[in-house]
Amino acid sequence: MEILDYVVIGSGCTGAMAAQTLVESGVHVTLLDAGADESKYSSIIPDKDYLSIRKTEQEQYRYLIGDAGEGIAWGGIKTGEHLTPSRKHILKWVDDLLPIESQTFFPMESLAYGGLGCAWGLGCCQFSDVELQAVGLNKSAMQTAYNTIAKRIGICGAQDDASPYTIGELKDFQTAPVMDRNHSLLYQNYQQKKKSFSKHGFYMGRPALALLTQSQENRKAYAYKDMDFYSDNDESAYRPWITINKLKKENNFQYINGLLFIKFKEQTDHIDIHCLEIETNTPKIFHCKKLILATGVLGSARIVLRSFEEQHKTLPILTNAYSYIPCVQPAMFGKEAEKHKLGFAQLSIFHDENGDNMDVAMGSIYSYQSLMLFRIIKEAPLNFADARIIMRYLMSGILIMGLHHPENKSATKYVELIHDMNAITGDKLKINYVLDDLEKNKISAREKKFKSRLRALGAYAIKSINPGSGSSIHYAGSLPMDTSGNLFTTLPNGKLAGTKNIFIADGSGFNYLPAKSLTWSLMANAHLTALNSLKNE
Amino acid sequence: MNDFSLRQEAQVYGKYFLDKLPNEQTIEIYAQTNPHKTSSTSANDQKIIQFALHHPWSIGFLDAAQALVKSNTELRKRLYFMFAILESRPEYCSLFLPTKRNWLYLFFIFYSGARSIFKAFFGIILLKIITRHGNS
Ligand SMILES: Cc1cc2nc3c(=O)[nH]c(=O)nc-3n(C[C@H](O)[C@H](O)[C@H](O)COP(=O)(O)OP(=O)(O)OC[C@H]3O[C@@H](n4cnc5c(N)ncnc54)[C@H](O)[C@@H]3O)c2cc1C
Repeated sequence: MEILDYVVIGSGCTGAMAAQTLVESGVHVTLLDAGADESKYSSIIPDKDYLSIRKTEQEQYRYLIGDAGEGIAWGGIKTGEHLTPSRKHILKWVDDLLPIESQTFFPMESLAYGGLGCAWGLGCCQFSDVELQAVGLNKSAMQTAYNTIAKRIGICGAQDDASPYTIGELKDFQTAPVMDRNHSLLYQNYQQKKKSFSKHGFYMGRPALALLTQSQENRKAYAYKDMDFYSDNDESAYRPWITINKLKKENNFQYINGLLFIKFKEQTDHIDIHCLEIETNTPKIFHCKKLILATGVLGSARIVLRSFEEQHKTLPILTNAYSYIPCVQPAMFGKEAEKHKLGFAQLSIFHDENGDNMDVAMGSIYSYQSLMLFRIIKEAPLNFADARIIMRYLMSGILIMGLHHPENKSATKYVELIHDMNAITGDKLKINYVLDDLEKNKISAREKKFKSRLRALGAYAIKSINPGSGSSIHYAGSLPMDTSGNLFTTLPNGKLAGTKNIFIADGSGFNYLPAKSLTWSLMANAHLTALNSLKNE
Repeated sequence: MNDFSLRQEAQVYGKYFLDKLPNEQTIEIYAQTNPHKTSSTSANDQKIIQFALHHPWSIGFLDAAQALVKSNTELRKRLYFMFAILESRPEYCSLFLPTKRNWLYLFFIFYSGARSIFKAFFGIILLKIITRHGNS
């Protein structure tokens, strides 16, 4: 029987960082993963800017709307609906292998090579000291870890009013990308009104992004091609598979995909890892000395509930309340399309009501171009032919703000594993996520304040779209971190309570979910967890 | 009952947007992406679609009316697919990409909005007649 040294499960942002830390320390690492991949579309997307593609490429429909029209979403607003054909693979196998039953929670999970990180928006924020404390993380260790991760993935940003909420104390970062016209105008208006903004607890600035504006190793500097929702041609945007591809060249690393991890069983001198080969549906068992779970918060909840075999156990869950708010900036109407442009968020606006960098709400602002007219046209209560004329005129002045709210635990937000005869694994996650009236009122009051701030800058909200709980794609808290040692909790060093050698590297341990982009903190925590797993504690 | 093939349908919907027949590739892509495949078309939807295909002049009215009263219909879905396909054809991209306009263009924008609303009123009456009497 072969006993592997360190096994990491999952190739998402957290799995990639945990694996890199372990490989760099010199131990033998095996990364097991479902690892759904995509090459059909990514291989045919030319290395050109969006406008040139639109004007010249005959094959563009294939990657813009999909061979079978899979990029054309018709019907209700579903989490993941906006994904473009070349990103849709992040949802492959999910409905069949990770079934969920819920009327109140609409999450996105991934079994892809690179996980949700194949499509993430690159937004990075450092949590403040008070937030780290509420989350359950060690402040000074996290500061060092933030720096380590920033060096690995490459972060750009700026020193401005928003930096306490974005780059925080990071010293070494690349310059922020050049803003497009739509954002520049909004930001100019902010500069004139910033006093009144700060009086109301609002701060605007450049977001920190995991994007290279200067080349680093084999990754090139961002070239403003505005193809960010479709391709990763120059690898300027950080994706976890970039790390795994690099690790594959190391002798002490192996990657095995096509496996669905089902459960673990800790024996006296090793851990049994029960998997299912996805293609053939056949069981497969691996053995290892140390196991690091990085399967995403819902994934880890599923696996731990299955492994501990405790009936009717519920686990807490956290997700940021989220809505997106399309706005128009009339001063920008009737302008031609921009050739050199960035698709990611270019401005962030934070509401720090109490001025203590705790319970801060965050708005990320994008301008609308490369996702095409058809995705927004159905929002207009007009016939498509006339709506085309109007929306085309408005398009250069459209901004979309994605608004995240901070989130605390409550008894009405939980997951449990229930039997399901039809599921391949014989079970499914049942999720209940209900906000109380106080929370709802707070969210709606905050949303109004954000809209009013945008109005003050000359951008008018058209409506507010709330796709439901889970749609923020920020999840945490299913195995809360504490020192009790109770089953279904995580110890402060990332070890799963009740086990000797099993660690949790994703966000399951977070006790509180700030509204700020969480993934930089997830990666920093994964790095620390991997370091802890190397110690024999 | 459907007397129109996907290709014929593509021609009618394409012409609605372009005022001329779409090119062969566009028709081919419409047939390939086939918006029917995820449809569960109701009897009323079927009547409306048949009427629209037999009387292409009515599409603007029906589209406007449904956009206002019930936007998630089968006719709107098929038009939406054609819209997305045309938008992703290089031959037609100039109809979709933002372009420089002076402020006088605002009048045309208001006119287009008003036109859609006018069409919607007529379309609502038309919808009532079609769903009551079927396709004739
Ligand atoms: C469109 C989009 C935009 C986003 N934008 C931002 C942003 O701007 N800023 C931000 O901070 N966050 C953003 N996020 C969220 C961010 O992507 C996630 O927080 C982050 O990727 C989570 O990483 P993870 O490693 O914890 O989990 P995942 O990415 O979910 O990775 C899980 C991994 O585990 C594997 N796996 C899971 N279950 C099993 C199993 N049973 N067996 C085998 N393998 C398994 C999967 O294959 C996958 O590789 C965004 C997400 C999306 C989708």
